[in-house]
This record gives sequence, structure tokens and C-alpha cells, in this order.
Amino acid sequence: MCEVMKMKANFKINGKNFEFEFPPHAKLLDVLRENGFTEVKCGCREGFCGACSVLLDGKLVNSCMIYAASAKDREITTVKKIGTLHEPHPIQEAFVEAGAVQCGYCTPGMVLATYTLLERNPNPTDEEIKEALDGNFCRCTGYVKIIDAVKLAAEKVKEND
Amino acid sequence: MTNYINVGKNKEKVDALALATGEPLFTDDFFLKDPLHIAFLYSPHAHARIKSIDTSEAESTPGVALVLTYKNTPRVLYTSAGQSYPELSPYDMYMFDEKVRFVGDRVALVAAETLEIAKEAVKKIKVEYEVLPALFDIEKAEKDGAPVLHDGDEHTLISSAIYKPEKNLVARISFIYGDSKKGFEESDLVEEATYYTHNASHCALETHAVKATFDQYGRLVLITSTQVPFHTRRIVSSVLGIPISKIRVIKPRIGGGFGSKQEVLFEPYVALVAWRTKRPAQVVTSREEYFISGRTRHAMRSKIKIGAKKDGTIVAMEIDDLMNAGAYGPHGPTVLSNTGAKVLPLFNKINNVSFFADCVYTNLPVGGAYRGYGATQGFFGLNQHIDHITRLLGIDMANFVKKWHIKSGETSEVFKVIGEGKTGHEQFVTSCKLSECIDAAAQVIGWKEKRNAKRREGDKFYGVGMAVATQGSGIPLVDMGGAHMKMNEDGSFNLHVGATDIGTGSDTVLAQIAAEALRVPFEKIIVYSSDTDMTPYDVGAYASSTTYVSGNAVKKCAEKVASQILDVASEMFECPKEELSLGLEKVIHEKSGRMLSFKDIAYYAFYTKNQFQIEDSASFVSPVSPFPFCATFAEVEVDVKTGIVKPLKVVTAMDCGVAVNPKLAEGQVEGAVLNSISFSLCEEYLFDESGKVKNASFWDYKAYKTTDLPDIVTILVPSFEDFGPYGAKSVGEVAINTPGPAIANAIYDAVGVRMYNLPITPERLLKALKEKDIS
Amino acid sequence: MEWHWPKDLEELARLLKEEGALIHAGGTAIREERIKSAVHVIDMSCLPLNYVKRQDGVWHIGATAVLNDIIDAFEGAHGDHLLVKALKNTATTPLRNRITVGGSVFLSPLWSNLMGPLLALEAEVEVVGKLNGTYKYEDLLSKKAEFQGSAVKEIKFSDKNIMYFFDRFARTATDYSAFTVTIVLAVETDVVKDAKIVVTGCKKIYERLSQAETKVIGKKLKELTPEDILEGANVEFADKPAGSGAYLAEVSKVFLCRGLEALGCAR
Repeated sequence: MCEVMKMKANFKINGKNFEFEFPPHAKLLDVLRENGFTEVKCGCREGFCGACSVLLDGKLVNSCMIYAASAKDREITTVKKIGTLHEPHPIQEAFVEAGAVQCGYCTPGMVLATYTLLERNPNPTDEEIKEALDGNFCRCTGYVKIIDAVKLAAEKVKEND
Repeated sequence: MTNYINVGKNKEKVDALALATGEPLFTDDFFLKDPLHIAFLYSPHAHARIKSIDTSEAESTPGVALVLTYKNTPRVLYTSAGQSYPELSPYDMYMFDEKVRFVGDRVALVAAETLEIAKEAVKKIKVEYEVLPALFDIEKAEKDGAPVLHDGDEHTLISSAIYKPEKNLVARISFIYGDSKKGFEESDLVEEATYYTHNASHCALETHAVKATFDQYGRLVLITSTQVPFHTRRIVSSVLGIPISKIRVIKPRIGGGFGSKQEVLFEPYVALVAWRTKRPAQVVTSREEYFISGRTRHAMRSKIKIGAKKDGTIVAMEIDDLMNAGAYGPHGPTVLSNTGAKVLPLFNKINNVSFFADCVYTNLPVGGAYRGYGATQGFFGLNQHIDHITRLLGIDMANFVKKWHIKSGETSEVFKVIGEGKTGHEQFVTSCKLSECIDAAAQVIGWKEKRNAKRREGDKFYGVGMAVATQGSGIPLVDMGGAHMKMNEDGSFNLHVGATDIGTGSDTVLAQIAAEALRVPFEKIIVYSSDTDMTPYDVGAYASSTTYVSGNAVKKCAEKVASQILDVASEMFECPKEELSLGLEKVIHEKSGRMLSFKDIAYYAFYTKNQFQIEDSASFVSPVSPFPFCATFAEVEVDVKTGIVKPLKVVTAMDCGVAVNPKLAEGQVEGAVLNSISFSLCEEYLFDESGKVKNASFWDYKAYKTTDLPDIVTILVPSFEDFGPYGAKSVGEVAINTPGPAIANAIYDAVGVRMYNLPITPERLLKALKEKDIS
Repeated sequence: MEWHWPKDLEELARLLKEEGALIHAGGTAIREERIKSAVHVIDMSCLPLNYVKRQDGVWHIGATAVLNDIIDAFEGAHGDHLLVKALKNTATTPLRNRITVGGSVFLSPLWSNLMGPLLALEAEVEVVGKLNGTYKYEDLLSKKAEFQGSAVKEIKFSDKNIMYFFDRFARTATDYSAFTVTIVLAVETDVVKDAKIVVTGCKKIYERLSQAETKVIGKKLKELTPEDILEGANVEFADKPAGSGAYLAEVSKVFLCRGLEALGCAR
């Protein structure tokens, strides 16, 4: 078997420290998925669809467009840090309530995009919501219910504060 | 409508929270232990014979376990179309063939320890091709001397079908009633035009993925992103010669289908690798692979000729369709027949109709099922032509359609002469609120004020247009859905359905139907679906069938279970069953006012006397295919200096019968609407001279996102379908048929230019504007 | 193969001397094959270069500032700035969180929309490594090979007393631009003192419409029509997925006309 040179690096993912081994050209998306973070989805590998969204030091990015090596020692947040099946975040509840989840493949990315939007802007307008979600593709919903969900999430997040 | 407790309610989608929290639910989230990874070698030629293929270097690459080509795979003809047996699509493909028929056709595969090794080894396969003349133009396909794609034993299982591979003919469907020639002579106005729809990609966010492993009996287990688990099991079995009893197909959560996964595209390959090597194997395809070698919406040319009287009576109509199957024919005959069968009945008062349609092979990517399934192609031209005719006659299109569309209680000659890919049978429309849809959507768009208003601001011109459509609800007398239910001690129920939730929410809708029939809260239904070992058969998610066909099966099943519950209660009460009725999670004895909770009944049945499992199953196949109807009204802005069209508002009013879950029904409409807008204005395959897809990526194939959105409005018009479960009809496909033509008609209203070609790109429109001297 | 994360410019300069060094900032425009073939990858992310600041009317943007950093820094007083318009139409939110100014300047990928505005603003680029010092951005674009082995440290430009227009053509809002048009005018008491008109996405990597620029300099805009100004200005385009070369040429001219009108030309 051809030996692929590998490197090691530390990452802080969802608040925990990890050391992973990977080839220098590995994308963050693959390193995350191979190590069990399957909530990070793969839709296109070209930075269009946003299914692979994560937060890198708090910023929304496409993990398919980032070399894992360049995220060394950085803080990575996936949708699981936002909330889980048993302890969901109001944003996730809002997506469910608004009917914004159809196939759900885009939803983790959409939730993260919403999270970073509401952090910066607790009262987004429709236009601001559309701009904030412009990196996330959805073929199922026509985005209508997703935009509803973001508005509902904004309400819910405010109530929780 | 009665006092439903579950139907018509916006119940939360059962799997939504797990999806929103990123639980591992999709095919590629299931980790196999040390699987073999599969990579394919695709043909660089549109048409070629393989003179020699040398896999030795690939095979000797460290880490490579298996290389498959036409030399070591079953020589079994099949169709990848996931349809009921016998499939209406021709048996015209092998896993691998000596011949390749489009750029992207499969030449070989490598299974290796890692995907990287497999991909590297693929590059080491040496193939010598004898390049053959290629056929790209549908108009030339049937001409003498045209390259013939399929010259072997390709055949169809349907004796009545017209299949002439020697003429590149995948299917011919034609019928005549009345006398259209005479009709045209009697007409005051005869207008003919030709409309073109194009190839497009489904763009399901999850690409195709298949994982194969083995159970404790050594049986093959396929976890796959499919819309058709049972058809997949059958087709894998017949291609590979593995008994059905040795195959289990599990459909996990699916990241969107839209028809793309009504294809058995990869399962036989992964299954064969696993079966040969006795190791787990998997394929997870890339976006590019899907663009190059997956399936596409059939491109079609549709010539429409209509003869009408001055008062608007359409006397005769002739339709001549020519559809591009691409290199193989999955879904070709059925999509073709739908261009007439789903389209023509809408105007059922035309006495002279002739329909002639051919579907032909070309050396281009393969057509397949795509939401709308031929109706989209047919309605694009028809709605524009109706706009054209009514304008010439000076009749308002909305009023015209309201007057002439098929009504409840009416039938169409078309039903008798044509079904989906075969002869039809008489059917009456049992519910139709299309006129109400038109009124509702017209009002929201401001039809009266805006139509023909010739509004302009500088270079920006504004207009409104409309379109209407219908579809069906399942394929009558073919599509079958099964359901099984059993009761638990606490009065909850397991619902097992073969129906295939691909993100549509059918698990939720079916649970609502079951809960309604049993009069229990929705939460008491635990759904498990689409596992060939564990659930009854169902055709799968296609043909707008799930709510209607599978829903009826679930309703029937739940009613049988309810009857058993009443039996037990009657034994417990020692009273005749007829005196008992269902209350909310209980059985009521009206006379005495006594009640038994479902929990008490279940405990009794499990533990007390005459013990048995309360459970039952049911199947449903429909004699009819109730029609959903919708009307879309669109408003656009056209920049006459650049040809840029901006859809401003798109309003769709829907008659889907009773919406079992209104929010999910709206979601179906909204998704279909945006897909159609994006398809009509932007999405298209670009081919180079060699027939290769030039834009095989989201970088170059553009689909609409949030920042491209018009204002999308959805109206569910109250309606009730007698054949449907609790009055429901289908909703999944129909709304993809109308936004495109509504926008094209709105463009005409704005600038007076008819767009015959999709997509309506800025360049195409600017060219048309210039031809008309509009600026 | 080794991946390096220099902490300061000295370390960066030292690493740039190595053979086969590849500079990595956001990495969005670097293909996997390029990483595989590199001997050293120099990751810029730990350098203190992610600043966006304005001093004495001059903007200084550090190489590792990402596009959204610029949009954020300009927000408020400079919210309608040329650069903001260009960048808001660049790629998507998550990509703008990753695409750096340095990478955009050095690789000029199709999606960044920065080229036209930076040329029109006569931006300068400070580089370190094989070359050291400040160069015109235009020079970097035209003599790219000479800058191999150097890394961008910052870009800077002045934007005092100017009017500007930017637009771009693309199939969808998040598509990469088929072309961009940028007009920057320095105007004093209605008279145009200086003008820069730049088209990108064309056959040449970019085109300055110097003839048109000459026509407006020294004139009052309201005395000129866009058609007069652009007469004879023919920019050639290759065929693209968004449209044929001929179409793009025509529409780019429409966009320029509209820009000139928006800036005050006669109609």
C-alpha cells in the first residue's frame, strides 16, 4: 500500500481537546467526519452548499474548503455543541416547529448559520437572514420555512435570555 | 369536515429534531469496519467500443482488492429505473458493457482499501477505444444512417410497447380521438409553436451513497440512499443472481431525492464487490460524478398546434413531442407518456386531439425520473400556448382556464387511451378546486390591476403571468403500499411501512393518518419505515403516491387494528362489539357510560385471557389516481437592456385535497416552486462538442439560494378527495410544473416576447428582445 | 513535506527562502494537488496581519484580514464604500469568513471581486520575502512571476474625495462574477480631476478604459453622455457559462453606462 505521509495536530472541538493524524492535504471536513463528527455533512466539496459548515474560532466556514492543518490548535464548533437531541437549542426547536426540516441534510449547516447570525444580530430582517444563509443550499424547502424558522428562533432566543 | 384530532394539524416532523441536531442518520454516517472503497472509471467518449482493457496494473496496485469490468461482471440486461415489475423501461444496460454510450458511462470500477488508492488505481486502467460516430441531435436520431446506440439484445418486457433500438427509439406513444384535421378546418384561429425544455440536475444535497455489509447469517445488507428499497432489492437480486432472501435493503434518512434516487444506480456494483470479496464495501459519490454520470431531467421538444373558435372554444389540438432519453432509457417510456397523460386531461372539452410522442436515444447523459416526470415538460409549452391563444382571442387567460378546465365529476378521453406508459382506463375527477386556486392566487398577485398594464420604469418592464397544472396520486392498479401495525402495553403502536420518507415527511404524515384512525395522540405512533426485512412492501417514494397510496394502506391497517381493539373490549365488557365506539385512547360503551383505556385493553390482550398480539397489516392499490391541481401566478421585472429577469413574486394556490399536515404540504409546494424557478431561469447542463458536461459542479451549474429568492406565497385551497385517506391527494410534484410557464407568460406580459427555450437566461431573452426591437 | 505557522515576519521571511514553499492564507483557492506537491506550506494564519485600519485617509488592510473583516470594519461611516459593494457580492458568508485579502490579491481568483476596485483605487501592495517593499497592485498583476517567493503583507489605498460605482454580472447572487465594472472619479467643484474605469473578467486579465478616462478628465460629468464617454471602448470577453463573449461585452457596456449615469452623467 502506498504510504501517505501523515501529520498530527490538536484541535479543540465542541470544547474538548483532540489530537488527530491526517495527511497534510486533508480537508477539515474529512478529518472531522473520519473521527466521528458525522454531523458535519458533505454535499459538494466546493464551498457552495454549506452542508459542511462549522464554526472556526466562532466564524461560520465551509470545512470542505479548509485544510485541516490550517485549523491546528483552533476551536471548532459543530451543530452538536449548539444543542443535542436531548438538550436542543431554541434554534433547533424553531427549525422543527417552523417545518424547516425536510430531508435535514442542510439543517446542521443552517442551524450554525442562524446561530452566528443571531449572535451578531438578534433582530434580523428578512434581507439580513437571506444574506446570512447565502452559503447554505437547500433543495427541499424553497427556503421559505427556513426563513420562518430563523425569525422564530430569534424570538425564542430572546425569550431565553 | 369532521373533528379530526391529527389530520390537518401541523404535527412536528418525527425525525426533524434528530436531523437538526446532526444525529448520524444518513447512509454515509454509518461506519463500516474496514470497508472497500469503490471508484469508477468513466468513459471519455460519447460513443465508443472498447477494443481492449488492461486492468493488470490497477489490480497489482497495493491496496486494490478487486477490479470489475464487462469481462468479469454478469452479462445481464436490466434497467436502473426503480419501477414496479415488469418495468416499463427497456432492459438496455449492463453493469459494464463492451460499448460506452456517453461521456460518463461506466467502464470499470476499482475496490480498494481507501478511496484514494481506488482513484489512483482507476487511472492505471488502460483502455483502447474504437471511437464511434456520436448522436447528439434528437431530430436526427431516427433518420437513416444515424449512429445506433443499442445494437444488441436490448429489449422491453412489455409486449405492447413500441421499442425500436435499431432506430434509436426508446418509446413511441400516440393516440388520436376525434379528427384534429377537420377540427383545424373548423377553427377561426390555428396557432402552432414549438417549445423546448432542457436537462437539469436534481441537486439533492446528499449525493448517492451505498454501503454493503453482512448480517449474522451472512446475508447481504445494503444501506442505501434510495427512494425505492424494494425495487432495489429485486433488481440487485436479478442482476447479480443473489436470491432475494439473501438481501436486506435498509433506507436510512435520505438527503433529498426528487427522482434521482428512484434509480438503482450504484447498488448492484457495491453489492457485487461485497459479495465477491466477502468484505464490507461502499461507494459515496461526488457531486461531479452525479453531474457526469447520474441522471437528468429529460430534455424535450414539444410542438403544439391549437385550433380555436373566436369565442375561445378549442376545437382541435395536436401535440408532437420528441424527448431525449440520453444514452439509456430508464423512465423514458413513462416520462414520455406523462407528457400527454398528465397534461391533456386538464382541458377535457377538446373533441379532436392527436398526440404523437417519441423518446429517442442520444449519446448524452441519461434521463431519469425528476419531480414532475414529464408533466413539467408538457405544461411548459401548453401554458404558454394557452397564453398565446387567449391573447390573440382577447380573452383573459384566468377566465379561460376556469371555463375550460376539467371539473369534478368529469372525465377525459385521455384517461382511457393512455396511462403511465401503457393503456389507461376510465376515471372521473372526484375533486377539483382549480378555479378556486386561480381566484385565490390571482387576487394575491393583483392580476386584474397588473395584467396587460405595460408598467415600466426606465429599462425595467413589469408583467404578470399564470400557469396551471395537474399531476396524479400514484399509478393506478400498479403502485401498491403496505402497512403493518402492532399495539404495545401502554396503548402506543408501532407502525411499519414500506413507504420511503426521503425528506418529504411521509413518516410523519402516515403516523398522523394512523393516529387519526385509532383516535390516539400522534405521539403514540412509533414509525419505522423502508427496511425490506422489517416492513411490508411499498413501491417507494415516486409518482406522488405516498400520502395517497401508502396513506390509504395505513388507514386500512389502523382500522383493522382498531377493530381488534374493539373485539378485545367487547370480550372485556361482555357486550356486543356494535355497542362500542372509539374515544380518545379509549373504548366507550355509550349505553352504560363505561370506558376502557387502550392501556387496559392492551394489558388484557397481552396477559389476561385469550392472549394475543393486537396487530394487523393492510395493502392498498388504487383503481384511480386522484388529481391534485395548482395554479401559479408570477410577477417579474425584465431589464430590457440586459435581458435579466427578476422574479418578484410567485404565488401558488394548491388543491391537494385535505392537507394531512399543512406545514409539510406547504413545504412540498415551496420546494417545488423554487426548483422550478431556478430551472426556468438558470439551471442547465452545458455540453462541449464531445458531449461532455462542461459545468459538472455547483461552481458552474447554478441553482438558486436564499439571496435569489422572490417572494414565494403558498395557498392551500380547501378541498376533499373522496378516494383519499381523510380526503387527501398528492402534493409532492404538481407545483414544479407551473412556476416556469407562469414566469415565461409574465415575461410576455412585460415585454411582449415569447420565450420558447428554457432556461430563460439573460442572453436568450436579450436576443429575443432585439429580434422584436424592444429596448 | 512540512506545514509551518510563522509567528512573525522574520520567521516568514526565513521560510520564504526555502525551495518549494507554498503560501497558504485562507486556502480556498489552493487545490489539493498543489498542497501535495509543495515541500513547505507556509500558513499565514498566526501572523499578526488580520487588521483593517484607516490612517490619514489611507486604508491599511493586512494580508490575512478576511473579506468579512473588511465589510465589518467599513460598516457605519464607510458602509456604502466601493469595496463593501464589491465584497458583499463576493461568494458567500462562510467563504467571506475565509477568503483573505492577501490571497485575493496574490491569486486574483474569479470570485473575489477585489481586482477592479483595487486597480481603480490605485492600491499598493506591501510584500515581504524575495521582494521587499511596496509595489503598485497593477505591477503585481502584470508581473506575477517576479513576485513568486514573496508574500503579501498588506494592501493600502487612499479614497479621499472620490465618487465611485461598482457592479458585476453573475447568474445568481452567490455566483462568481462573469465580469465586474468599477468607476472611480475624483471630482472637485463638478469637474473631474481624475478617473479610473476598470473592467475585469474580460479576455485580458483586466482592462483600463484609458480613452474613456481621458474623455472625462477636466470635464463636468453632466455635460457628457455615457455613450460619448464610452464610444470606441470595446472590451473583449471569452464565452463563459454566464453568457457568450459578445453578450458579456454588450452588457458590460450597459453596466458602465449606468454607472456613469449614476455618477452624474447626462442622460
